[in-house]
Amino acid sequence: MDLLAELKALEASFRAEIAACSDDHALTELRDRYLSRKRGLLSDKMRLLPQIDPAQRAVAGQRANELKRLIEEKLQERASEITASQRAAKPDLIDVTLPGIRPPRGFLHPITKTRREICRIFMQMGYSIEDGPELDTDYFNFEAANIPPDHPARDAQDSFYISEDTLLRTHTTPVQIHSMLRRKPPIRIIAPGRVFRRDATDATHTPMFFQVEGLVVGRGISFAHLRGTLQTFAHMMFGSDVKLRLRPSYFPFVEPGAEVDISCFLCKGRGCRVCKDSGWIEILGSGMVHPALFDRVGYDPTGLTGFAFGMGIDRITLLKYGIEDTRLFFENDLRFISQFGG
Amino acid sequence: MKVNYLWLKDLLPGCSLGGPESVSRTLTSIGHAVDTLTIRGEDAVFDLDITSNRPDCLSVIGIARELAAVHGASINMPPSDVIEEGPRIEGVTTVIVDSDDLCPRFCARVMTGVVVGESPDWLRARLETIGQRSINNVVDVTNYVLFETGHPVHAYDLDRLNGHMLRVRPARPGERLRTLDGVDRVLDPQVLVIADQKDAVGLAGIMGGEATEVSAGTKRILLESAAFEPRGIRRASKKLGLRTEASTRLEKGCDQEAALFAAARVCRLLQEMGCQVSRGYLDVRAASEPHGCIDLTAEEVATLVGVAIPIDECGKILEKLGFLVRFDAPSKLCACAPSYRNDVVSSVDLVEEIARIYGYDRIPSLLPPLDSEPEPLVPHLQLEEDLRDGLVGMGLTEVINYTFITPTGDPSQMRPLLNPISERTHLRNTLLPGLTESALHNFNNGNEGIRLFEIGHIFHLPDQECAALGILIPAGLPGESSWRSRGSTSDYYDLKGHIEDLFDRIGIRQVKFSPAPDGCTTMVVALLTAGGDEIGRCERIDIDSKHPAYAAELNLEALLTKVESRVSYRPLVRFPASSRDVSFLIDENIEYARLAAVVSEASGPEFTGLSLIDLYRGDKIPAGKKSMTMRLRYQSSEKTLTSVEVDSLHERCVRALEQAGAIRR
Ligand SMILES: [Zn+2]
Repeated sequence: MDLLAELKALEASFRAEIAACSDDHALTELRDRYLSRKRGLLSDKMRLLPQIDPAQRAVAGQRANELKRLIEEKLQERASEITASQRAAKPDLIDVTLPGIRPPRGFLHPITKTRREICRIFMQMGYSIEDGPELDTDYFNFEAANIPPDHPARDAQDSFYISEDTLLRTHTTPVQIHSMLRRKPPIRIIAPGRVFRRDATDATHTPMFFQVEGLVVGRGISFAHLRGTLQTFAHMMFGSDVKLRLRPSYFPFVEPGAEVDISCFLCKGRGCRVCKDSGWIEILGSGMVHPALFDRVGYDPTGLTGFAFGMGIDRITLLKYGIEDTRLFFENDLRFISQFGG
Repeated sequence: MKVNYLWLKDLLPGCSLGGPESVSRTLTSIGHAVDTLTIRGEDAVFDLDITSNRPDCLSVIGIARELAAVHGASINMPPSDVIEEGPRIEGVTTVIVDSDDLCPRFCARVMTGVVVGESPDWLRARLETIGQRSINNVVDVTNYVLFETGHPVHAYDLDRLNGHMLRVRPARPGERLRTLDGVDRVLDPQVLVIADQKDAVGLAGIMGGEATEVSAGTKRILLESAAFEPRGIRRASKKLGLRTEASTRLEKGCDQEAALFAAARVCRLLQEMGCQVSRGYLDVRAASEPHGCIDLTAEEVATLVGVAIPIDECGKILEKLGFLVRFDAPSKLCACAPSYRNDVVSSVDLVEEIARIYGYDRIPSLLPPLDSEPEPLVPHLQLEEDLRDGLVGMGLTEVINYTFITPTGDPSQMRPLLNPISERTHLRNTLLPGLTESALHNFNNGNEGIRLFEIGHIFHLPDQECAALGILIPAGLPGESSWRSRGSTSDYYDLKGHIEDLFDRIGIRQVKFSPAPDGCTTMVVALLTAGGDEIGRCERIDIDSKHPAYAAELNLEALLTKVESRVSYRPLVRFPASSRDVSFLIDENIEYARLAAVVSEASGPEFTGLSLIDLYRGDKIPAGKKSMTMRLRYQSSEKTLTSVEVDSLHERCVRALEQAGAIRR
């Protein structure tokens, strides 16, 4: 008889039989009947291979192998069908209340989360992100920012020096200066980064913290634009019901300068511990870029104006979540970090 | 600085200030933030946060001037007229100023018939409201005038001054002075002193000396009311570590024109208490330039503020603030600042004055025109963000450590801080000590799932600063386990797997892990290279004696240059793939990477992949050998490979492995 025809018949009978199998036991029997080495129907046929015409042998051999693979595949397919139907028939095999098997979970540091939130808001407003070195010169950190030696503003920014002329930056203002030197107006950037001040460590101070500063330079940029920008930021960051208050203040690199408060989002302005009963929370410093800075970076100040602002990322995170101690940020306790979401 | 409500009211009669709360709001809105407001019966105390550019506001008169400007009122200056009697001052004392660049003005007055004693009740009470303790009538009056005018006045016991005279000169090298706080100080010529004929009797602008202090027996006093060069005061005060009410004002610059008035106020108040004022006064002053005039146009105001304020309204505001204003042309003014406003030097300063009195609240909110083109995130920052997302996605947690560390390794390889404030004395040259510290903290607190990373700058000698990524995975601890399975014990291969996965995610291929060469510290397990450049290393570290860990540090600048396009699309192959396994024994010292290379060299284009599916070392196989099972995959993009074809392709690879020393099992 033609071996190819026999294989075809065998396939047909297998297909009929497997359709009738309804449990694992029947499947095992079926496998044995076809594939068992000693008495399997297919194994029997394969043993015949050496005896047939060599011209046919290759084709028949390939066909037999293919049938073997097909049988194995179908058996496996049917086995999973049976399992699935058994599960469907007996749903009590799953205790749906058992804890799920969770993949391991990691967390971003809360400062990174807040930084991204702030940066995203400004990127939506068309700002580019800049960064720069943490170690910079006295010139870029102070003098170019209009803070000459012996200036009273240096008191608030006691610095860590590496050499007479090199220090850990006390604010991200040097990034603004570097950016102005590298770019040409119009400019619209923000600069997030680590900054360092020689403050004793306590619940509200750490010698290292994070800032985001923003800078917009162009023709016709006004204080009204500063106000509108910060209002948009505050609404997006803290909620659209938050009110903004600008108070005159002094930073050597801006004039006019303003300290910016938002209405307390915790007590809605009624007064609480966080806002020290004032109903207002100070969140950033800002102002119109002092013409001396344009002078330092070689811009023609005629008709050129700009605004700048800066805020502490740590402080905003602290306020937003009601964290009581800023030292927690650098203790890196997983019980702390894991509270702010992935 | 503390100011009380009733004192302000005295200076602003007929001005409807409103209650203390209203004053507090007004002061805040014009730039003098009220830290706390304490109501005390009818009176109230404002604790003000005066910015460093406004030393003129470190006084009751200064604050009253600000309020007067807001309310359009005028200030009622306290009386300073006195009845002079006795000999003229020139016959009693002399003042010589050697360094008039450092002391542009020095006024002196003499009082006789002084009876040192208790201050009257009103004076004690008023000083008390602003937190000043009463000492005696003379000291209290000088203090009172300091807070009232912002100008320091110092009283010397005239009869204790050698030669009955004062001289302003630099200290002599090594000169000694015991100051009023009882501290013996050694001075140098960078410190300016007030001296008598022989010795220093006070630190100029900072503190007087004990030897010439007014005391119970004092009969005659010499009053000093002087202005000093602010930077000199600042440097001396910093150098000596001594800050006083006088120095905090003088170092920011005082109103020179107030010197005579302050001295007269002290005379007047002491005269009211029964002392006599000698005839005349001494006034030694260097030639000084009067404040120049500053031009301002309405356009400048409108551009900077964003709202058109008519020029005459600008002028009115400035006049209320004490400026002399002249209107030169339409839409243009010229303003000259009063003597107490040294901070106003340019037109932008005038604009701030106008804007703050006009009211920041009245300035509208607008968004700036978008005239700059938005840019994509720069590649190095994009890489950092991708790494963070990748690592968090793999279950690692981000930490942030201090940039300065306590050196653990060789401190000569690290840059020291010149002025550290703790045992963290050096800039970190690696992220791993910080990660170790974080891991230890978490172990000590019983936290689980400690797998950490940090992205931050590190510093190398002589002056390199670069961004780095550090990863730490504790070794020998079971990973996450559940009711269904126990987690496997983590080791070097987990760290490597994380790095490999991370590199896949960010588009870095062709990374080589090679054993640390001789000469590396014993901690280094592997070096990572890409295209021949070192990009990082893996280390075995000890978190503490019980907790080993594997950690890696990658140089992000080097890494960035190796990032290829993250997506390289290839059409799907329509023909099925086949795989064959091969198990063999091989010498322990033959690396996997070499075997993988052997296979890929031997194979043709149909070979598409290799995975190691089993590795066994142990006593079931001969010593010095390991057993491996590899799974090789074959696929053709042109046809379905027959099993005979696959077998022959596979055989070629297996033979190559055998030539490399594999013994097929
Ligand atoms: Zn509140």
